[in-house]
Amino acid sequence: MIEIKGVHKSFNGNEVLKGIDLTIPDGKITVIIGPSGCGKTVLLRHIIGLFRPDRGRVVVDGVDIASLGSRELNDFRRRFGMLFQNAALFDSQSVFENVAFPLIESYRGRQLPDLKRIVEHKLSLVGLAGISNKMPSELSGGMRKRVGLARAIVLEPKIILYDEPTTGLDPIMTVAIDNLILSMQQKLAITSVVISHDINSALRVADQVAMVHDGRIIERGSSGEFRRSTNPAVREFLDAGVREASEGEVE
Amino acid sequence: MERVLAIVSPVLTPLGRRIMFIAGELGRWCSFVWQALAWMFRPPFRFDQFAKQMEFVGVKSTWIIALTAFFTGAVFALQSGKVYALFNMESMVGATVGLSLTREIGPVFAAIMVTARACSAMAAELGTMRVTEQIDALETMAVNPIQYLVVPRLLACTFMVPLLTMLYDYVGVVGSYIVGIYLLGINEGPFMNRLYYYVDADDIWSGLIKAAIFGFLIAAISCYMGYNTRAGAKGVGKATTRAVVVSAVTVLITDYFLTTWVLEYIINHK
Repeated sequence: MIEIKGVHKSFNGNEVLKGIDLTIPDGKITVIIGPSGCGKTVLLRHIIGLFRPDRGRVVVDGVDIASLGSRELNDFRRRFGMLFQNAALFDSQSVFENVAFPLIESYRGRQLPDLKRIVEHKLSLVGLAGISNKMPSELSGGMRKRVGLARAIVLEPKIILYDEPTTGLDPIMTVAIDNLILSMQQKLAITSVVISHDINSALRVADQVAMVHDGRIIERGSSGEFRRSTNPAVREFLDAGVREASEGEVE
Repeated sequence: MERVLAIVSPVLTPLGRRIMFIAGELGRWCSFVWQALAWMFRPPFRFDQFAKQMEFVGVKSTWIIALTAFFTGAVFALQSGKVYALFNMESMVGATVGLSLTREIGPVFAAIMVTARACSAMAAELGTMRVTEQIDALETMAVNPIQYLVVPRLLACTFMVPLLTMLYDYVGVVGSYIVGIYLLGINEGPFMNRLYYYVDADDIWSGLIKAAIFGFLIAAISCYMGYNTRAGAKGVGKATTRAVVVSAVTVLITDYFLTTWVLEYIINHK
């Protein structure tokens, strides 16, 4: 379980998070939504320890992330897999090397497992079997994200963090990535935290939705509860999502 | 008093801000180098990354170093030969070029060529990795980016710049030999005799120690600039330019102090 308790964070005097409180249950998909620039990614980076809160605590499985030293934090991060907004694949390495990278690093100094078999298996889970010799520059945006996901799950983490997984993708690829998030959760029974501003996508995959607005969580609940919210900022967001979907239908 | 303040403050305020900025950057750079030194001695030791960087910094710089060294030695022999001819001292060309190359020109030019060829690429590569979140990705995969990216580059430059300096010295002397003997018609015997007589091991060693220090500094500066890149493609360009300019200026300034203080002290107290 991930508990975010009263997290505050400022950058150059600009307060981005103003006391976030959120509990993310095990084995479920929690989607954190909100408009661009509201601090969603900053919040995600606190969960994996890339940022330390100015005030408040992030507790993962009973461990306060901020209390860990750099080496302990490094080891602790093996529980996580993270898919970045633009996949963050290493340009100079092939798809195989990218996906195998976390395995090679975690088995350093020990007998390596069968890399080829594991990498091919993870690539087949994301629907990309047989592309391991390609370079990231040869892949489309959606394929890059799926390779990023294969890399994120290669160590079979307990928690996967998705940073805007559907941003910049066409509607078909968006649904494909949503299905992938659902199937990862069903097949591997992992805790998923998805950051998104795509309300339709969020409602499709979420067990729990939380909305960040002006540095605070203003609403949380299941997809159904979220749809019925009376909070004006949530309603505005939902209506914008409905408009976007209907414009898509007209097109 | 107020009138004086009104006159000087438009000059002193930006100057003070600039000094504060430089002091802040220097502090952050020292902290960065300290972290790199701390991670250098912690396992896992990535010899594969180290070897890759040695190849990139050293082996791939061989031709450009040999080319510039040859023509540096050649032009130096040409100019000094003409001056020495006024005093019938052409035989001193070899010794002059040898001393200049081993003590000063070899380490300084080798470091500047490595800055231009390899360190600029390091800054651009790390900068691109930063803005495309590849460095963050490393962290999330439980890999310390300073240990993985910076330490091999620092070590590679510290080891390879002295080796490239040796090459620079050798090829530079060959260039001066060819110009001196075949173009200026200096007798080979006195040319080589003076070279052996005046250039000794201390000159070569002092140059190599300098080269190692330069190698460390240029890698530390370039990695720092790349690692702390902000603001997309423009930021990468800015970081690369700053890496090259600051490294080159640092080499020249450090060279002066190393020559006047440290190495002269070592040589004189042997």
